[in-house]
This record gives sequence, structure tokens and C-alpha cells, in this order.
Amino acid sequence: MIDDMKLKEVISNVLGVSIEEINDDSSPDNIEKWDSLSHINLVMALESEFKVELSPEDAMDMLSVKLIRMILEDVLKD
Amino acid sequence: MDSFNLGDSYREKFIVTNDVVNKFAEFSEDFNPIHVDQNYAKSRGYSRQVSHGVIQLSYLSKMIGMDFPGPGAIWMNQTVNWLLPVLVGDIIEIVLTIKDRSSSAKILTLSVEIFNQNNKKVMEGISQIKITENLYSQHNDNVDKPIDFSSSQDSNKYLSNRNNSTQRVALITGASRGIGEAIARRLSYDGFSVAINCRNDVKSANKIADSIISSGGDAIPVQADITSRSDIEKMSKKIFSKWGRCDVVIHGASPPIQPTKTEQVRYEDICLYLNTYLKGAVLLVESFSKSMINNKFGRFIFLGSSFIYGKPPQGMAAYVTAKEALWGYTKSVATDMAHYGITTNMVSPSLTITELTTEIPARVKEIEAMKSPVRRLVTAEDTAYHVAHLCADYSGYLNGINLPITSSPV
Repeated sequence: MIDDMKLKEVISNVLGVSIEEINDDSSPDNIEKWDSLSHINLVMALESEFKVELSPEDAMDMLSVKLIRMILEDVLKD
Repeated sequence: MDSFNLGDSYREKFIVTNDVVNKFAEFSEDFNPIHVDQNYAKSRGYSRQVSHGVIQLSYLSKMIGMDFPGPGAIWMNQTVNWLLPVLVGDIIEIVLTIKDRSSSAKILTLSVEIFNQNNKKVMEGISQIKITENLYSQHNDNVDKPIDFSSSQDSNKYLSNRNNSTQRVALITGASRGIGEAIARRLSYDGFSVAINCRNDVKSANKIADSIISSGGDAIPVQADITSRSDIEKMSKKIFSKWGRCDVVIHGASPPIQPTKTEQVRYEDICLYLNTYLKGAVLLVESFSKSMINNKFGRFIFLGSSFIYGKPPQGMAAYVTAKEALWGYTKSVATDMAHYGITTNMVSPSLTITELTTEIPARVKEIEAMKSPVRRLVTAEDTAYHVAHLCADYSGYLNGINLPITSSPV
């Protein structure tokens, strides 16, 4: 299981939004600072925080907080 | 054009009355006193007024346009040689005879002769007439006429298929669940009688038929293995003995969709899909097109997949190959059968959550939803609605398309 608090903290730090504002449906659609540039920073932060290596496809598919969690769970399981 | 033969003729009599001549003078402003003043005419040696020669051509115009060849005719050319004057009160007879016909140019050449009551020829000439054709509907005026939005009856027809000219019957394969079930329910809502096909799950098919009947619709369950010719023949007999017709065939049956690494795919894996999609479609067309041709109306709709647009997803070689083969068949049937009034189309939804797609990981579904510009997956009901649109009587001009239900350009 992914530590939900840890996930939200990473996102909050990289994207500059408060933890309370982050939920499963958070995505580039509703977080203004989540653009293609900050997405790379987010992916790098997730890799170092959760100690995983993500493929370029995985990184591209992280289109929402829910998807980030699903992908991290899959990668950690393998 | 085929109904006009060399030597065919048509004749009609007219009385050139005082009233006709005066009306013509008024309309054309040709008040030459030789036409309208009897004393003047006498002073020039005629017992009565001389009628305008063009009045004879006016009657000729009426005959060409209304009787022979009749409505739709275009008068292209005319030679006129007046031989004798026609006096007010004379009875004339106009005789048209076909002297030549060109079926390629669709032009008739007619001789024109006009006789007076003493059987003296007063005029002779040659007409050339173009026969125009209805470019809107070659086969079925009732079905394919364009919607007239100024008529409220027609705009109702556009809004709802419930006013189809005929009680339409639709067969939906793979209708015991998922997209097939949604299509059956939608078509029933739109006023179709529906045959609900399933391969094994008779219980579900019965349940759906019962629920449609209890909400006022007309439905029967029909069990058949779509890859078996004899099963399809039996199913067809059941439908025809119940309703006497089958206007629409929708082929949505599918095995469960299972991703497999392409290097592990065997030809037999592809055949599993190919048999249901392609063989099933061919057998359905074999069995149902004959009555559609007789009725000059039919709709074949094959379920495709958004996976056949552009780059396919990984691990779906067997499925994608079989759907692509079905698309090839769809295009050919569309090209070859549309002149019978039968349209053939494919409808290709993106990933839909049904029992067929339980093997596809949740993550893939979530990604698909987030990649959609409307940020959700397509539902079976979305697809059913657009299938129903293609089934309607008014959709006779949509043929050979692969309609993407993808929420984005493909």
C-alpha cells in the first residue's frame, strides 16, 4: 500500500498546493501549476521518495493522483 | 426512360376560345387587332380573329410537362412551321410521336403535328425533351426521402424513430449483456421489435426480453452460435415466423477480451476472434441480406473498436487483427449493397466497462478515462444511442463509415 500522506506531501511540495486541496481526482485539469514542466519534477520526486524507477510510459500515464497511486502500487508490486 | 418506345404517340384536343385568346393577349400584351378585333380580322380577309400561334405552343408545353413524357420533362428545343392560321373557335388536335430516343443522354425527339377540326394540318415541328430523374431516391421513396423540417410531422420523425414508416425488426447478436444489451433496450425504446441473441446465457436473454415486454416493447430471445451456419438459419426462421421480416442486424457478439504478449500469440488465438467477428458477420449477411434486398431496406451494423484507429495498444494483436478484418468486410458490403437500400457501417467505441473487459487492468481503464477529452470512459448507452441513429430510416445516406465513439478525433 502506498502511504497516502507521503504521496500528498510530495505532490504538495512540488506543485505548491496545500495538502487539503489534494484528492484522488486532482489532476492537471484542476491544479493550475501541474503543467508538463512540473510533471517531470513530480515524477522525479516520486521516484526518489518511493525509491522506484518509472518507465517513460508510466510517467506519461500519471494523469491524476488516483493514477499515480495505481501506477506506484503496480511498480512496487513487481 | 425505359417506358418510352419509338412510335409511341399521344394526342389531345383543345378549343381555342375567345376567352383564351383575350387572356393570352392580356398576359403577353400582344393586342395586335388581328387577334382581338373581329371586324379588323374580317377587313384582312379572315372570317374570325386569328389566334396567337404561341397559344398552340402553350398547349404543347402543357402536354410535354403534364402528360407526355410528363412531370420532370425539360423542353430543350423546338422547330415550328405554321401552315395555316387557327381562328378563334377552332378545335385543334395536337399529336406527339416519338421519333428518336437516346437512353444514354435521356433525350426524346418528338414529332409535333397539329390539325384543325377539318383535319387540315396547321402546324408541324420537332421537339427535343430531356427526361430528368429523381436523384434523391432510386429505390424507396417512402424511406429515403429527405426530411422536410417545415412539416411538423417530418421533424417529429427526425426526432424519434417511433414514426418509422414500417414496424422495424432488429436482431442484435451478443445482446445478453454489455453493449449488445444496451443496444437492444435502446432500439426497443425507439420502437423496434428486437430479437435478443445469445450463445449460452439464455437466462439473461430471457430476462432482458421479459423486461422489454413488461415496459411495452416487443422482444424475443434467440439462442444461436454466431459461428454456426445452421444455428443462424434456425435463428432466422424463428425471427421470420414471429415478425415476417428482419430489417436491421447488429453484430456485437464477442469473446472476452484478453491481452496477450504478441510474441506469444498463436494463429488459433486470432481465429477465436476472427470466427466470431468476421465469420459471424459473413454468415449473418448471407442469411439476412436476401429479405432486405426484397424489402429494399436494410441496416447492417458491426461493432468495431477504437483500437483499430492509429497505433493499437500493446498486447492486443489477436483482437485488433480480427476487428480490422471485419472493417474490411464492412467496407465491401457497404459498397456492394447500398444500391438495394441496405446500409452497412461499423461503430467503434473506445474501452467500455462491461464483462468483456474485466481482464483489462483497472489502471488501463483509468488512464483511458483521463486521456479522453471529456475525462470519462464511454458507456454502453453512449454506443447504443449512436447505433440506433444508424438504424433509423432517415440514416439511408450514412454508409461505409466507421463511427468513432471516442470523444476525440481519431
